[in-house]
Amino acid sequence: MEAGTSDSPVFKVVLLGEGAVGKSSILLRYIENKFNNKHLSTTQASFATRKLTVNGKTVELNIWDTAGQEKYHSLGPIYYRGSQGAMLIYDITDTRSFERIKNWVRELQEVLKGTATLLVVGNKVDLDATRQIQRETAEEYAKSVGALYAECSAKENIDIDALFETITKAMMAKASEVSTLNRGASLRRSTSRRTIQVSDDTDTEAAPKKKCC
Amino acid sequence: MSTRQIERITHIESLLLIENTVIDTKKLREACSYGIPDSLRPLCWRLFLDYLPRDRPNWKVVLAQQRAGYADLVENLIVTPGEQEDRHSAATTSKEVTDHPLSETSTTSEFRENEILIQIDRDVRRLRPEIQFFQKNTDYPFISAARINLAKRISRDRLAVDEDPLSKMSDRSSSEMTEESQSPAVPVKTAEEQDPECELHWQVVERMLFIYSKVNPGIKYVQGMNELIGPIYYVFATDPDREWAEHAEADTFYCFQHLMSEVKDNFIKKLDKSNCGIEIVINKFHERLAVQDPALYHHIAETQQIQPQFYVFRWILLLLSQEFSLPDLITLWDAVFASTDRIDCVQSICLVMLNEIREDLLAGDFSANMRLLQDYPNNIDVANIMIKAYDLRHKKVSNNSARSNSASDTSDISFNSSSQSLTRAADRISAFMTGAKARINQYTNKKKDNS
Repeated sequence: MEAGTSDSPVFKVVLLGEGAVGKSSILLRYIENKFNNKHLSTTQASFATRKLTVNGKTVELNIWDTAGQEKYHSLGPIYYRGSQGAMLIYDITDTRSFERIKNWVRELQEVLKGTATLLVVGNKVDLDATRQIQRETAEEYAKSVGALYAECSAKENIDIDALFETITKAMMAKASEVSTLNRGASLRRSTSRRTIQVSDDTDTEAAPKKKCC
Repeated sequence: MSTRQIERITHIESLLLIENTVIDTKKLREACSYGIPDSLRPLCWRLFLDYLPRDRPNWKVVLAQQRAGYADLVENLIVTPGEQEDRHSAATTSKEVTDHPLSETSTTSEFRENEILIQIDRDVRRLRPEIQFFQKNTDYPFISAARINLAKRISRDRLAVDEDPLSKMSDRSSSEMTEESQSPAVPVKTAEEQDPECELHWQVVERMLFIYSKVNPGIKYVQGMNELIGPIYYVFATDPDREWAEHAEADTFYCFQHLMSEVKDNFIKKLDKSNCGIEIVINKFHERLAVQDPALYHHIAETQQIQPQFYVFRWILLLLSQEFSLPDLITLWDAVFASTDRIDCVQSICLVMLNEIREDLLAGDFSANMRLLQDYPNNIDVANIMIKAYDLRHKKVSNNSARSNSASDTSDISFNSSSQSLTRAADRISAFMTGAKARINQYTNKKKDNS
């Protein structure tokens, strides 16, 4: 995790999912509040940051939008390693894209072993008329793997901000859990208000910058 | 134009004179490594990409053969693919007479093909959105293939297999088309409403990529290839010499195929982890950066953990296609194509690109640097980049001397050539580029007039 430009704690979030499910569109809507039908296909993960305030606390999100096409999947680990959150995005009108996220979930569980918050996201609710995956089905699946669930539309700007708030709340909760556990386990750290995932401004100057991955 | 510029253009022209029955490509490559005048570029690229032989007397025969060969490919693979597939299926049946695999085989293969086509279709529709060129009609449609209309084939298939859950991909593609036709900002005709004998330039690119994917089943189509073929086609199709422009499609196809033969390993997933895949290429690039500019390497790669996958992956995979505007890119590609070691040439350009934003990178934090690297500033002079990259390649500083100097000294030695030669060459290149820019502006303006 990289110390941000400011004193806010930084969380790393990765967007995963099949090509054309709308990963880049969700990010574009969230960062710039735009929608572009002709958005370029993503061959290389792109990086964006945004600050948001949740429960009165400001945090900075470092968001990685990954490439969807099969060929570029081998690059996935570079981006999800060290993430505190992952959005598994599928297209509610595309059964196959829903099956693909199951592979990602399995991979993340193996590698991250529960250290990251997973959020399953059904995009394109504006196309509800041609929906293939029922909300209940997806919700049940998410629950069964310990993930959160949400639906949105990047095109119509439905619940995009809520996605990021949801995942951030969960990441913050997880971070403070870890922090509590650590305080209990290690008395030496009891004077520091630092947590594992959240870096403290007082340390960023002195300590070498923390790694992103 | 200064004397120097005229000298260089005259030199390139003299190498291409009709009385030179054998073109000295070695000298031509050297002469073109700072850029090629617009009027000579299409010819030079054809020579550099080994499409045209050095022996001018052979051109006529070679061109006729290649172009006829391409026309056959279009006819066999697109216009009447059924006949070919039937032949193929017949061969299969004769070996395995037991079942009747004919129908299933052709359905599955058509389904796979259509998936590739859907992917290509999605990518070519959004090719170089900064110019209108690809959204305009070509003067030279491939009539029999234009009637087939590949994009239509995908939407037609959707109707035919509507019950099939696997047809979802097609659904999506057709809904995208609808969205585009409704969008007022993008005056794109849908495949359906267009004159059956007209074709837009992106549809020509779609056909070339689809044929490439069929002819090269080991690679098929991978996102990003559209960014390599697009600029080549643009250069050939905008050739003021109509005799050449008319054959832009066939000529682009073969030049692209040749370029791909050099860079295709980067696109093959199976090779990603091997010693010829993209990962080793970009890791080697970072090793080179570590030698060239230890201070910068230490800051971005070690302290900030910016991995080559985060930026130079795209730079190298797409030969910088997404990092520069089209006129700048075309000028950079003059040098890249003229070079006999294209990978090395691209890497040298990448090193110079980093050096140009060195101070910002050293001052920036992780987030700022990521933005800088993923969205390379457009105010950096491409002419300078080319000259410095050329110097870097031709008088490489030995590693030992680089290491013995302090970090900042090293970068000075490696990158700063004599300022005088720099200015001269910069003049020359900007003269070449003015032409390209003017032409692109022309396209944009025409488009404005129409709307």
